[in-house]
Amino acid sequence: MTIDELLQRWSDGSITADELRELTAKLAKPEHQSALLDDWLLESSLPDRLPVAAVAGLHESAMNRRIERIAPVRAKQWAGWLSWRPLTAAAAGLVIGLFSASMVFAYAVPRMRMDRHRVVPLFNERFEDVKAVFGRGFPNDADGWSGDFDAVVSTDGAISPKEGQHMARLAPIAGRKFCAAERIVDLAKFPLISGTESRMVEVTASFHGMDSEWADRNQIRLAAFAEAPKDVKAIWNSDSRLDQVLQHLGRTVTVKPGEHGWQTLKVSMEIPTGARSLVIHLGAGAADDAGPKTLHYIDDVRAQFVITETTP
Amino acid sequence: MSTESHAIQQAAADFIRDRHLLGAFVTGLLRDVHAAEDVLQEVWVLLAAELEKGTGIENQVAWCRGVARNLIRRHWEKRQTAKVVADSETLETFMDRVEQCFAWADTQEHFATARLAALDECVASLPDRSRRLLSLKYTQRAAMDRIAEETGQSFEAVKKALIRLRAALLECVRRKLSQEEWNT
Repeated sequence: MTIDELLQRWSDGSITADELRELTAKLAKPEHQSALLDDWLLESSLPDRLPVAAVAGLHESAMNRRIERIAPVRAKQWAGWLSWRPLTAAAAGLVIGLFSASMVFAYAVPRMRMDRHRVVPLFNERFEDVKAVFGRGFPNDADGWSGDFDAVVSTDGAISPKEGQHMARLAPIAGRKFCAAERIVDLAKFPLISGTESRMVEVTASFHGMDSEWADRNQIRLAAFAEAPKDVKAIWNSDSRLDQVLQHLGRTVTVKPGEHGWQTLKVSMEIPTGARSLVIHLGAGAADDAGPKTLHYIDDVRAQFVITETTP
Repeated sequence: MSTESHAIQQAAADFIRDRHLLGAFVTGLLRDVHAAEDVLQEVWVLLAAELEKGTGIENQVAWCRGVARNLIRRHWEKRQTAKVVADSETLETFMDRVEQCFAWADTQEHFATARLAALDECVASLPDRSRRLLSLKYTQRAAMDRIAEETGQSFEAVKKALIRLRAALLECVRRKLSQEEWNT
């Protein structure tokens, strides 16, 4: 019997013990492993890949069923994380489902509003891993930090982490005014469920300078590109190609001399249709060109999508 | 924000990232999408409880698969009539091998996302009639005789059409992936 026939028999429940043994033996071969993975991924994913309109009612009923089941158990712990649609607005919990395509965190939607929102966390970085290895310069691909990282440190002189036990220390490199920390998000890993959805990315980061006599500047820049993550570096580093950016946004805040403590910035940007990669750039340095190139610290960097579904 | 909710948010982000393969693992072994949803939900609840206790989980997706496997075993044990339970050792060996397949997939970059992107294209290229047939089976979960009634075809014709459509989609996804590999 072929692998496809055996998988079909497993799938429809007609497989015998002998056939199951045969299927197990076949799975020693890589091509048969791929066949099983492809087959099962298709089976579990098809409900989400077919036209949404045909299944809207089922989506909702499946969601609500999940919430009703989970809510009594988790409501206290998860209060504020989620509620979904007026019917279940009082329920709080976490929805994960094959029908739902993603987990949903968010808040009650007023009864008359036509938009629904959900929040999908991207990452929450507190630099607690002292053995973390960071790339140098602009990242070559998605995920993971890269830039002018010097070390993950706990208390450094008078400076303590903003959150947790550690923070990242950035060291300026010669010839550059700002030290930077960057990462790329592969948007293909976070597909929208339907064409009626749009999304914003929200990034929050905390910065700390050396408390010198000079003013500091901290910044967050966001940029969306149509290109795949591994192709973004060449664009980012080329002035002549930077106009390929689909959307970009930056926020820079100056810290006056003598001002102390952590400064937290937050930036939101709409992700345009067709974007494949999102660059998150954090920069810190002396505001004045004549100022010293000192160490800077970053901590508690968070990013999330706020996805809005507009119902007609 | 507390340490606990940070850990849970991070775990949630990872769970979202891994959901396709985890869903395939659970649905594939259970052959029942509703039972699979229950298991996935239970896995998340157990994971969140562990994180709340402060347990460090090194390889979250493997941990989730292990927990899911226990829940799946329990599911099958409750269904004594199922043929596969007649020989639990055979089932265990099969699940071992399946787990190895998925552990291998974890190491492949964009394994699920590449296939799902290809699947989207393949589904989009189907005639409306075929998409409707698939919708009836996979999203409305209609019984085969109900689909036959709905589409005006015989039971056997619907069964064969669905098997052919599924095989065509798998072939289409494989072709697109091999083209992509060729292009890169």
